[in-house]
Amino acid sequence: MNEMRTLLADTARRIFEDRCTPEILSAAQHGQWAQSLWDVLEEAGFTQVSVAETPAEGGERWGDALALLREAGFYAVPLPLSEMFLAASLITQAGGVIPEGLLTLGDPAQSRMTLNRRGQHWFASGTVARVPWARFAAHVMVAVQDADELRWAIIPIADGKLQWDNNLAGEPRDTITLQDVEVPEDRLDVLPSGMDAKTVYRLGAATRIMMIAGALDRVLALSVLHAKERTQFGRPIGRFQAIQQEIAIMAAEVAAAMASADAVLGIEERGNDDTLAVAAAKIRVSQACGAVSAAAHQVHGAMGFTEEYRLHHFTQRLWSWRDEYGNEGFWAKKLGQILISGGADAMWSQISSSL
Amino acid sequence: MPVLRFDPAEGTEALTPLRLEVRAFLRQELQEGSFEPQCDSWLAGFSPEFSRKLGQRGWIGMVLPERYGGHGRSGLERFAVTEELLAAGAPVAAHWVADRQMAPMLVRYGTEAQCARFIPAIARGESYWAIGMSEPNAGSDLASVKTRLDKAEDGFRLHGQKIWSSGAHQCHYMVVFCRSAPLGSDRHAGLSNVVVDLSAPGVTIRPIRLLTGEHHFNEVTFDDVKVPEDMVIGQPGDGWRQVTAELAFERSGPERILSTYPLLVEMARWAQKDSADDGVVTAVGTLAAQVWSLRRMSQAIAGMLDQGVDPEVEASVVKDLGTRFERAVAETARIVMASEPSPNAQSRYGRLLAQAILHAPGFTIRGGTNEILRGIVARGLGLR
Repeated sequence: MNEMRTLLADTARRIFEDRCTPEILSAAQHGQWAQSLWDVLEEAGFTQVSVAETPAEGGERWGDALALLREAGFYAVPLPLSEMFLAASLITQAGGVIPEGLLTLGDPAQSRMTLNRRGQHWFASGTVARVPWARFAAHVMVAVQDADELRWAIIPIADGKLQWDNNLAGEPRDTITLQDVEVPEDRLDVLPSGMDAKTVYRLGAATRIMMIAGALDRVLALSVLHAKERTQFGRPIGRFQAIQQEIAIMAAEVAAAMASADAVLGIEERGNDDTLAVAAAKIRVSQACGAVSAAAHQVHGAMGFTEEYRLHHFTQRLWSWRDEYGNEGFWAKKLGQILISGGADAMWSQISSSL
Repeated sequence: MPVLRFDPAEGTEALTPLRLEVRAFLRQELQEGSFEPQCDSWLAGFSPEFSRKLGQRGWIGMVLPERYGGHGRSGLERFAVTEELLAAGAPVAAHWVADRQMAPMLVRYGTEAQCARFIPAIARGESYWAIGMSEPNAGSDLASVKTRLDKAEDGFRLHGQKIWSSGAHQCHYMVVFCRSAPLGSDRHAGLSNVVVDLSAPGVTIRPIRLLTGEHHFNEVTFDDVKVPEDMVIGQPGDGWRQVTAELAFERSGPERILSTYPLLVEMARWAQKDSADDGVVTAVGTLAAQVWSLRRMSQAIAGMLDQGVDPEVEASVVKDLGTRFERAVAETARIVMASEPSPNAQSRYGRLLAQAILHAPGFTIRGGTNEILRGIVARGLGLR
């Protein structure tokens, strides 16, 4: 990691350590928006981290954003950082203007929006489901179907109707319904030209890969700490081989997830369109979620299963994020198709040359 | 908390021409029918002819000094070549152990004379070496070996028994881990490594057959075998440090991940057919994701070793994950491509599936049982 990025990550870590307290996390789970945390991040310039001054810097800024998302995952930061980073990055690349206020992004696979033209005006109708943090956001960047073409628009959330919903961690995942909402020209086609929905989906998957890696690392750290501190039968439970084996297996899963995230970070910041790597990484980190959270809850015993104890903030996020932007099954089928289409004997070449 | 580090290896793009060279060679060999891809090829695929060909191309002894017939190349270059060979299921068993650990041990701890004497033939792919570590009563607890090295007038005498020595019946030499001084308060002291000529008087080799009936392993008995002074590696008493020094290297290599890769290739080949269902396609993707992540971790370790870092904990993780993955390939394949497995199946898939299932128990036992390795990881995390 270069010096600038190390500095960025260290600063983020300090802010999250200080400001993303257990109280903030509990309040967020009960529906409260973490305004003070948001303010601190905005003031420190973190909400702009993915915005590149020149196109040449785009990859590196995106890499910075992904690195920060890993830290955000480690601290279970209850804010739509991934959506802001991704939307801001895309809009900047397209030469557009990032709207004021909180901006979120709708997963293209969740969008059932259509665009209709009447005279010189465009109108959006339909729904987009599972929009992260929509109820607290001012705008949503969303895919809208215009006859044969998929276009992207920025729409004020106040112009639509919201139906609240959450993921398993209590993070807002709201459905937005629009009925004939006018979309001004300058809020349309906000995606870089030539970029398709598949790419946005892949970028979304990359954000989840980083967030999951961070949260997995935290769950391992909590489990090791607990094993050292909790005593039963006159000694720390970490002295028992059964616990050591359980944690060692957890550590192996986390290691594989971290290595996968490292790979994706490198690929994304180089601007490589490497669906194979993102697919493999999303599979690997998603698989780790189940194994690691199960082992962590075992090690923590009954206490870890309570609302009061902090473990659940992380395991509930693992259970949620692994299914966002494609779970193991989805990406395994995709990866299988990619490899098979190249021929069985070329499979090794494909796997080993994915840089 | 100590963090497990798998820093991505640098400069791996530069290895592509080398990989392409190896692939071209393998394509040629396959066309000529000189080998058939097999699972566990680094253990079961013993081919002096193939080893010699690799030796001629400079693909054995790659990291060894040029003055001994090695090629002075990096660990990452050796990694690239060995990965390509194992992914193809090529028969590299004859020279594998000599190349991977015996020759590097000699370079690190042996004398000039020993290196000059033994390494050239190893690098040519003509000299085959076996491991003499485990004993009937000393497996995971390696320090408890009882094979004795006694001082004699003209050097030493070796008494004892080694077990599981793969390929010993076809090898020229064995490095024997033995006790050269009485057991004291430090159980790791008083241990040595000696080079034994397997054709020497007093050496008896008895086959140990796998449950498949295959003969790879052996029990080797030493009955008052003469060991000249100049066959001791390094100093007597330095044996424990010598065997543990190379562990990160041995445990993290592609042979801990790719033993059943040829079976995955056959799954992909099946999935190319129109009749293949989504289950096979998805299974290929799921397994490929493991290969993708595991080989990155293994390569990262090769890079770290080149930098002089000794990632013992990371290597243990790779071996644990990798060997469980090796078994998972077979256990997944049989569900999505159901057949009644047979070693004599008509199809390559059927034969490889049978090989993989029958060899699977060994994956997680050899090279340090996974349970022992998890203990190392636990220690690395500060739990013990």
